[in-house]
Parts: sequence; C-alpha cells; structure tokens
Amino acid sequence: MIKLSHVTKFFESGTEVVKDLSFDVADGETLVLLGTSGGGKTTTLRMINRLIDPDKGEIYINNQNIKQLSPISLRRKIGYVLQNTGLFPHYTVLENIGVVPTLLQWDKSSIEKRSVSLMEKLRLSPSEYANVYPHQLSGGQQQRVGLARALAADPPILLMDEPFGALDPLTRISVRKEFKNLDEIHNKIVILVTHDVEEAFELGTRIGLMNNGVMQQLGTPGELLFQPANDFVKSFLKPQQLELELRTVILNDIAEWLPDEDNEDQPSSLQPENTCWDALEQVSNQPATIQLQGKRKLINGNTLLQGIANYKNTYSHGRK
Amino acid sequence: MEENESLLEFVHQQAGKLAEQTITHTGLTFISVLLAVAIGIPAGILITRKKKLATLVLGFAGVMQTIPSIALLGFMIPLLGIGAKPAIVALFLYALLPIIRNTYTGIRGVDPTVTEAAIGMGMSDRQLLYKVQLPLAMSVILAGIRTATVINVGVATLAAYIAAGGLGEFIFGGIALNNTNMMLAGAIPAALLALLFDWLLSRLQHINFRKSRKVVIALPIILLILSSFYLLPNTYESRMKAGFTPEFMGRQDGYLGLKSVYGLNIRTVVINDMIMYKAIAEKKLDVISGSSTDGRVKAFYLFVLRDDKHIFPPYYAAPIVREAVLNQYPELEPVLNSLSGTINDSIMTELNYRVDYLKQSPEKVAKDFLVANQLYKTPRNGNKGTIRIGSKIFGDGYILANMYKMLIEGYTDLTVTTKTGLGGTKIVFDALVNEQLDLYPEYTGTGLLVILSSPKKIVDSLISDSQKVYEYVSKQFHNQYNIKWLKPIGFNNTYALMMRKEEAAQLNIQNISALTNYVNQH
Repeated sequence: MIKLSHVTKFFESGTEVVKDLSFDVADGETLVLLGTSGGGKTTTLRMINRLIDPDKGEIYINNQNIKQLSPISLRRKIGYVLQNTGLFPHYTVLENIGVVPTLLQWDKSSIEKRSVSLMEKLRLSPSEYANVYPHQLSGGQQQRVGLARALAADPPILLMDEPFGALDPLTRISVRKEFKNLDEIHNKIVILVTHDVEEAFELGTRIGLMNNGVMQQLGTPGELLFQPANDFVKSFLKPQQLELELRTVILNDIAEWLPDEDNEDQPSSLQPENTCWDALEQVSNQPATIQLQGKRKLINGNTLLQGIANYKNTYSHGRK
Repeated sequence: MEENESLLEFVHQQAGKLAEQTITHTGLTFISVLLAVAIGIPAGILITRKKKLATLVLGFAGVMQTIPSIALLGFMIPLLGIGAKPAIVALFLYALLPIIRNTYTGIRGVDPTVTEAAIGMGMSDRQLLYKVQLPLAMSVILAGIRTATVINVGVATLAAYIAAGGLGEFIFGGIALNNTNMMLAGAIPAALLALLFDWLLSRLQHINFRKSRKVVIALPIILLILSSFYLLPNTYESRMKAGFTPEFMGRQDGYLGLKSVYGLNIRTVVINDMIMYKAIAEKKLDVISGSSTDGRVKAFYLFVLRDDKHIFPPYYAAPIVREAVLNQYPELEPVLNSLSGTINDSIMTELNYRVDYLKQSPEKVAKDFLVANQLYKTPRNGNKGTIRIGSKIFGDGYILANMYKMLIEGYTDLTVTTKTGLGGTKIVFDALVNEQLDLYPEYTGTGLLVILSSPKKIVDSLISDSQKVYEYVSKQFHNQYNIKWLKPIGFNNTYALMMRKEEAAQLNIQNISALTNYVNQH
C-alpha cells in the first residue's frame, strides 16, 4: 500500500507544484493520475521513487516512511516506465530488460530467462530482437521493451509516466490493450500518469484528476462521471462525456431500465460485464437480446441510451 | 631533386639523433596527455555534478589555452627550471581544455531521459557514471583526447626552447641556420607523428567499448608505455651542463668548432636565447652561448670566457656609409669617427644593460654617454641636408643610431632621421644599397660571412685576426658596393661562452681551454 500524507512540493520560484496532496493506493489497484500539463502529476509520481523529495508531508510504502529508505534500494523495488522510453542506447534489448536484475545481482541465466519470457509476453520475438539496439526498433516496440525493463525484477509497484504518450494512436491502442491484459500487473500497485482521458478510463481502477497541483477528485471512473466533485471535473470530462459513459457503464448496471423481450430469436454473445459501448457496436445493425438478472432484455440504440440516462439520474442523486 | 636527395642524406646522417628526438617527442606528447587525461576527465566529470564550478574550471583551462606557448614555457622556468619538467607541465596545461571540455560536453550531451531512467532504475552515482554516462560520452571524450594529442605534438616542438629536446631541435636549428634540410627533418616527422596519433585514436573512437572492455584498460597502458619513452634518452651524465641556442649548435663557429678545435665534450641541451640567461643564473645550466656585449651578461652576473683559440669570428662594430654621401658632405666622416675607441665590450654591455634591464630609453642612454665623454653638443638645427640612419633590431643598433644622430646634429648643419628596428641584416643592407639609407652600424663578422658570403678558404685564413677581417671587408665593400667602412667603434659583439662569475672564479676558469680541461677531467 502506498500512502501520501499532506505532500507539498514547491518550484524553485516558490509556487506550489503539488499542494497538500493526500491519498492511498491499495495493492492490486491501478491509479491513474489525470490532468492538464503542469498539473503536478509527474511531480507526484517522481516523489514516490524519490527522484525528488517533497518539501512538506510524508509518503509511506507498506507503512514505512520512504524518507528512511535508501533511494537506491527503494527504486530497485519500483518499476519505472518513461514517456520517451529512456532505453539505454548502448545496451541491446536483452541487456536493457535485464538492467534492474543485474543491479540486484541475479545470476546471469535467470536474468536471461526472465528477460526472454517477458519479451514473449509482450509479443517481441526474442530470436529476432534480443540482440538488437533500441534505435533499430519501432516506437511501439521500444515502449514494450521499456515496459519489460520496468517489470523485469517483478517489483510490487509500477510507476508509469505517460507511457503511451509518444505513440501514434493505433499503436497506442494496441500496446495499451496488451498492457491491460498482462497478468504481470494484476497484483501490483500501478500508478500511471496521463493526460489522455480515454486512457485513464480504460486503465484506471481509480482516477485522480489533478489541476494546478491540487487533487480535484479521486474516485472510480463512475464517480468522476456521474458525481463530479466540481465544475472543473465536469468541464474536463464534458467533451467525451457520452463516450466515457458508454465505456464505463456495463450492461448489468442498467438492467432494471431495459425493456423485457419475449422473443428469443435474437441471441447475442454479449455478457452482463460488457460495457454499453461494446453493446452499441454489436447492435448497430440489428437489435439483440441478453439474459440479465434472470430476465431476457432487449438491447438496441434507444434502450441503451435510455438506460444510461436513467442510471445517471439515479446515480447522481446518491444511489449507488 | 637535389633538394630531396640532400634531405635524405641529412636524415641518413642524423638518423640516430632523429630517432632520439622522435622518441623524446612522442614521450613528451603522451606523458602530458596522460596527465591531462588523469586530471581532465575527473575534473570534467566533477563539473557536470557541481555546475557552479563549471564556469570556473572551463574558464581556467580556456585561459591556459590562450597563453602563447613560449610564454607559458617561460613562466615555468622559475618554478620548475628547464628541461622535461616545465615542458611536460606546459604541455599538460595545453591538453587540459579539450579533455575537460569534451568530457563535460559528452556527459552533458547524454539524453536526460536516459539519465533519469538510469537513476529511476536504482543505479548509484557510480553505476550511472560507469554504466551509462561514460560509455555514452566516450566517443566525445576520445575526440577531446585526439585534439589534445595533435595540439601537443605541435606544441612539443617548442620544448626544444627549454632544453627538453624533441623534434623542435631540428626545426629551430634549421630555421636559425637557414638549413632547409634540417628544418624538414624535424617538421616532417612531427607532422607524421600528428597524423599517426590522430589516426590511431580515431580507430579507438570507433571501437564499441562495451564489446571490448579490454580496450578501456589497454588505453592507459598504451599511453603509459608511450610516455615512458621520454625517460629513455636521459641516461648519460656529466657534471657540467651547457645550454646552446639551436643556431649555435649547428655552426662551425659555434658548437661544432668547440668540439673540433677545443675538444670540448660537454653535456648539451638546446635552449631558447630568451630563457638561456635566466636558466644559467638559476644554476639550471653552467655554460651558455651568448653574445659578448649583451646587457644580460651584466644583469645576471655572468663571466665571458676568452676565446683563446679564436674560433669565433670578430664582430667589431663600425658605421658603414655610402661613399656618395661622404663625398657630398665631407664633414660627416670625422664626426662619425669621433666615436671610435670610446666603447669597449664592457661599456657596450653596460649600455645595453641600461636599455634592456633598467628600461631607460636608447636616446637617454646615448645622450648620457656622450655627455659623460664630453662629446655632446646641442643640436644646431641646420638645414644643409638630411642624413638617414638605420639600425637592426638589436639593442646595440638603437643606441649607436641615437649617438650618431646627436653627433651629426651637434657638429654639422645636417639633420638626421632614424629608421631603427629594421628586421635583419638583409633588410638594412638592401636599404643602404638602394639608397633608402645613408649609413648604419654593422659588424665586421656579419660583413664577411653574411653579406659577402666569403668562401670558406678566405674565411679560414682571416678569421683569427680581427684587423685582417676589417681590411678585407673594407676593400670588398668599396669594390662591390661603393660603401665605406669607417673606423671600428671598439667593441666586439661576437659569440661567447659564458659562466656564472662566481663559479668561474671559484674554478679558476678564464678561457675556453681551461673550461675544456675542467670538463674533460671531471
């Protein structure tokens, strides 16, 4: 568990980059720090692996104040992924992935075994890429190597600073999907910084929206969407509001507002855990039915939007 | 073709010396580069971490770079004496800037994301330096070492000025003696060394350092071995040490004559004229070659050894005048001759001393002398005509030209313009022949050897008798150029060997034969 308690950091000019920030992240959770540039997200991230030290406040990892830990051994237990990869240009792919295990003095064969297995998981063919240098890789491949490097020593914490920011939209989506489905990250605390709202909603179990060094709202995607804490949160999400709602709300959430349907002629592969977005994609040509909470329900464009509207209405008035 | 053959001949004859100089040169270059690497790379690393020091350190190294090499060598003499030590220190200071700056720039040039990643992965400062910063900056650092090496091969030629040896001995000897072969025998190997080292280091620069860590270890060892070359030649010892200018080393009426006529076998080092006097005064040398009326003989308490076997040609000074001018103004000759017999060697030394060391103006020194000898008269400001007096760039020339100006203006109705500080014999003499000048003070030896370029046979027959030399040049100048040698002034500004006064008295050495005896016995 990571705990930040009243953390403040000043610029050299004296203005506050991060203002009185407190939050907890539980094991297995992915916290996305979202916000505008200069909002203090990256600074917050860098304080956790002590690349910078806070001016006020304390940070605890598993109830231990990180001030009392040596920064070097602390960092070796925290995976770190950078926006521009920061791969070592004079190291091969295999050597790059093996950096932290080498620092931890693992023996050579286990380093290689671990690196190769990570390459396979991240769909980088070891025979093809193990001995090439980073500049010979595409942007997406480089970012995969950066991710593998961060995961190599199986650290309990993973810090990611705009990890997909430098990729083109298509590559970004595919690398993101791979990341999301990676078994490696499931027991870890992941803190990920991004300014991409869609990414935040796709990856975050919780999202912290920051602006001017202040945490505006920290909560689940649903909380941010349907119970925005203030006007900033509302206006920040507004341009993509509908899409985000469709991506966040799952069919099970809106079951009670969907009309019953007796006709069993239109079965579908949809599951209760699918998002409304997934459902909308499937029913764009013809309506479908799905078994929800013991009843067969009709799904088409209209019923979905109606369902979301009702859900939102109920949700924002306090019912969870 | 003939030039080429004789160059090859020269190289062939001097092969041993050339090899020794090349080895010394290589040693000097690499020992200083090695020191600069040992100090410069850590300094460069330090200033990437302490930014406030960067301006200071780079500024210091930059200033070192701008000091003219010969001046830097000069500064070293009082601190470290002459020979290898000051040369190595000076070369080291020259090599510093490129090495510090390239280390600094190389490390600063490492992508900050890469550095941050390395720190974020949990590398210690040391690991960051050795695993990331140095390997990535290595090609820039090596480029700095390359630059420093090439600079030092060039600057190391100047080491010959302070008795540190190297290819500069041939280069400066060749320049002084106007011996092209000797000059090229030093310059071509120096240029080849620079190209060779540059090439070798460029090979290193392209090696992948992570693939061959051995190179990283091998590099300092190679440097060390090359550096140790310097220690090789310094094996023989003798009690007395002589410092001679490159010119003196190569002249028959210089070191070669000392060896063949006197049989003097003294340990010699080649040294620059400006530094030589200081070096002997500070007991870094025991014997030097110089000119007998130099003001520094007095300033540094030196004793001029008598040339008892007459190997140095007489260099008596006398005014030489165009005969046409003497005919036009007959009153001129007796006035110019009035100085004759008034200035002997020690008086001229004293006068030079006042100009060179007490920094009195040549006008004042000339006037004081004339007043003291009751020769001075206030100028008449006549308008009968103008006489143009020239002089060479030496102290003697300035003072004499001023004396003649005062005498002519005091005793005749002529006025005088002076053109002092003309570069060399050839320039002044050509000006006289071409009627740009009317007279200037010249030396009999220069007239004989340089202007007339007399054949060796004649020179040998005359050289031991100053009167015969004077008569010969007077006759030849009259016949060839219609120029008249007036009466000699009295002093003889010739080559001379000199020692510290104190030591000469202590060892009872008065002349070169006595010195030879002393050196050969000890």
